[in-house]
Amino acid sequence: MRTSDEIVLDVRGLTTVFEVPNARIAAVDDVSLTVRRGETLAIVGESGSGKSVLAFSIMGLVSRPGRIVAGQILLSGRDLAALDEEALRTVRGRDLAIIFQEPSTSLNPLMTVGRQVAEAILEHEPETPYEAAMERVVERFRLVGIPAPELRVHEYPHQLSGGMRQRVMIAMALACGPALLLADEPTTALDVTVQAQVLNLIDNLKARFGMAVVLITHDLGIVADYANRVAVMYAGRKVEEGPTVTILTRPAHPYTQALLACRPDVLRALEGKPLLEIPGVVPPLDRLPAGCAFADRCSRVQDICWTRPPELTDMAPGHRAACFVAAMHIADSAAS
Amino acid sequence: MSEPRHTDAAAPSPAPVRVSPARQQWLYARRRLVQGIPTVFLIITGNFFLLHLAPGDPADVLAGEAGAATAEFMAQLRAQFGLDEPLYLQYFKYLLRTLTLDLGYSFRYGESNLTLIMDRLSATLLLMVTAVTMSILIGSVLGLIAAVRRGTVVEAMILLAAVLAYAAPTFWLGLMFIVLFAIKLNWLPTSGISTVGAGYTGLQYALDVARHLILPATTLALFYFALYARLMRASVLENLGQNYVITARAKGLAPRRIILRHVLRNAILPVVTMAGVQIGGMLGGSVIVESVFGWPGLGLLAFEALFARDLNLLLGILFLGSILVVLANLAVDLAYAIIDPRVTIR
Amino acid sequence: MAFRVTANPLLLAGTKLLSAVILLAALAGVLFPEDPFEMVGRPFLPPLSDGFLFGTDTLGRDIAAAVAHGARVSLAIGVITALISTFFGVVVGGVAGYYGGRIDMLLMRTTELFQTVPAFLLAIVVVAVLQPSIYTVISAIVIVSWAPLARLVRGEVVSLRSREFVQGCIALGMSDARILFRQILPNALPSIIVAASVAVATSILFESGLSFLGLGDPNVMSWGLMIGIGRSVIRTAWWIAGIPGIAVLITVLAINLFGDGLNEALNPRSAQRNSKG
Repeated sequence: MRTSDEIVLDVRGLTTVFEVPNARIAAVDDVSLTVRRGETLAIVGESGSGKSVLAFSIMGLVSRPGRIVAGQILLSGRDLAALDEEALRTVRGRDLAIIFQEPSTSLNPLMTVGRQVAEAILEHEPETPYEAAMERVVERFRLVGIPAPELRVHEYPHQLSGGMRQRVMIAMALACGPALLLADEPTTALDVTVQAQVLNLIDNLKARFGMAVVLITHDLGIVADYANRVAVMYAGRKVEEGPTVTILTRPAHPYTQALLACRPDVLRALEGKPLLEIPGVVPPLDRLPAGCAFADRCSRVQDICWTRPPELTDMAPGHRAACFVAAMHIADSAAS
Repeated sequence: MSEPRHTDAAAPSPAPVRVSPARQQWLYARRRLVQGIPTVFLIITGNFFLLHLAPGDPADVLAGEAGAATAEFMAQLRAQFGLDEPLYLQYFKYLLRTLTLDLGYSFRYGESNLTLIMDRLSATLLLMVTAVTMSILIGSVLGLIAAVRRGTVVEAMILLAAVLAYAAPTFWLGLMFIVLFAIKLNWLPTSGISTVGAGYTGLQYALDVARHLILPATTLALFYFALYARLMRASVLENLGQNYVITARAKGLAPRRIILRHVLRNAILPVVTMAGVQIGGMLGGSVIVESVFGWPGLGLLAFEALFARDLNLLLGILFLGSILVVLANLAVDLAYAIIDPRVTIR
Repeated sequence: MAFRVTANPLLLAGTKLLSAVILLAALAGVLFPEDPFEMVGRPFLPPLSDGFLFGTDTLGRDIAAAVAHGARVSLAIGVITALISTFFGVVVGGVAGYYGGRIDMLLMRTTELFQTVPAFLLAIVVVAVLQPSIYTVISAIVIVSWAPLARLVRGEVVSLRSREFVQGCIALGMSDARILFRQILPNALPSIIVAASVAVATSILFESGLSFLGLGDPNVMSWGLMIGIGRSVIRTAWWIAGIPGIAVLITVLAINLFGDGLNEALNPRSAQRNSKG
């Protein structure tokens, strides 16, 4: 399906902090995003980059000691960050939904999967009779490719395989036909053979339901196949954003370049060359350097990088990166 | 008692073989019952050893109050137990008799031990069932409240009550209850199971028994209430951190609904397991509670047998008490299997 | 095993209370030099009577003196039985966990059996069969309390046995006894110490229950015995049974707090899981 112009999610300057004794850690720091109807935005980063906290913030699922301290989360024009918990509950699971990394622990082991999905419908459409809700659950199960859905709805999570459980989670997310689907590493815990099935399913359902999808992943292979646009996160900040092809072929930020260089490469491995890795680790969020958070791992670091955090600069239409060095290159080439 | 078995959660599920839940539970019950058989044998063996450990001739022990029995009765006992035969034969005879529920005769009461025990069983069952229910219900509810109201005065009060109830000796607590509620306030009767000579019938009788039941049941339940409240609190807190709770929140469910529909049932599982482990302890505790409150159950019978030095009756109570625990454990395992669908299938 | 007592309020409170009880037991002979069975005043004096802080009992014995002397008995029996039970628990649980297989199954079935039989009833029968004395009371309490300790030790040993350092020792050909006692048990020690401290509290409760029923050593003044004495006059003189009971409560409370605090200090991870979520 083509991406439409209708903006479903518009996140502006979102900042989520965790207040622990003697520290205030910005897990998401001044992040802005937009996702359109029919579009898949991939959010890429190492663990600890803040991509999951970002998803939880959008869902309004951040709980103590974390909280959203700044920014707007506009879902179809309505600011979720300004809603109280009660109002947020009516939106959550109806207008936006999420699927998690661990389908085996994300379902209640003591309740049939059918009931767990029906719960979402009954919560948001209290006038729906139980039987009608269950009928819709069966229909959704069929839609997500669960065989014999009439029987499966009466089973418990432990009776299903990991892939089937993730399909149940998807059916649950789709129960009320949300405008936005967040998928937080939806295939990381699954067998490789099942991963593609689940991702294809999400892609097909996106078209069918006319949703916007935010796909959170650390796997650039998935990005290439399923995302329209990519946002790269590092230490709580968005460091680069652009169309998938641009990001994968002409990344501007040294971090993105390093990420791409580190992809497990079968050819390299066959030639007996060692796999590349980015030297160093993501800095602890409570001890970020004054300048660019990536500076001490960066191969192209300059003096200016240590002075202040770089701002996002346009590299090309729709392609922006937060890097002094990249910005200077663009300025140079524009000047010449 | 054995741990409930869980099927491997990670195993891929083939097309399920459909066995009706009732049949699964029946098969499970039968398997657990069979597992209890060796336990029964071991208890009988233990009893046999205790009988021979006692100073003097087992016949003296068996006769109860030493010297009080007639010479014919003693001779009859010696013949019946085959006390001049080799030990293994004595053991075999003892085993056989106990298995056929021939627990001997109490010279003091002029009744068979089995009759004596069966007469008292219902009172103990009433006390136990009430105390178990009270301790689990109140313990779980207060543990749940303590977890949900974490960091508040409410939690602190519940934890304080639990810590105190956990440290108080049961019999002393019973005595203090008698002082306060029966003697000073005169709200409840001090002892017995019903008002002697009141001639109540039907509902009136039931209410009378209930009034007599309150203090002993509360006394017996308090220690276990403390245990379950602490366990439930920890269990709820652990479950609140589970992913399925985040899923429920992501569905938009209200916090109250998440707690009641999702967390409660998961969190109570360790409490149920613990309740099964503790039933033996509770039955032991009922000896003391029954003797404090003059509650005419197995415990009071044991207390009386103790003072009459009627060891054989004591051993009989120990044997049937243990059987009771085996059966109660079975009931608890079945309850667990009903709450947790992962258990029965195997 | 270094930890700061001050950083842990539970441990601090438990330690203070427990020290007070131990001090009372230690000073019993100094504070109340006469035999606690001695009749020293008018019977049934209420607490705060002249010269008798806690009053006197049915025979005019000083309750305060009996409480102080009873502390010795309770603590001594508690500690001794806990030590013996822990010893049996460590041996049975260690062997079962280390060797596994049939011997494990056999030993665990046996512990299950001891956990099935109503503990207090068994203790009564044992004391009744062997005649009441301080030794039979200790034996009876050990018989009913070693099983949970054995289960705990077995669990620890099973999980430690699969760890790399133990597997390394096995590969090096170290003897089983050496591995068990030098490598595995020291690592299981924190849990064993905590469980043993809880066993002290349970033993004190058991002992007081047995003496209350008249199954204690009749020549030793104990808290349970005093509560038993006070029981028949509970209508008129509640304090005779009441005050020794408070002594039991405070002692058991102190040990439990101490044990909880110790658990937090020694097993920070499991304590967090169990008490803080």
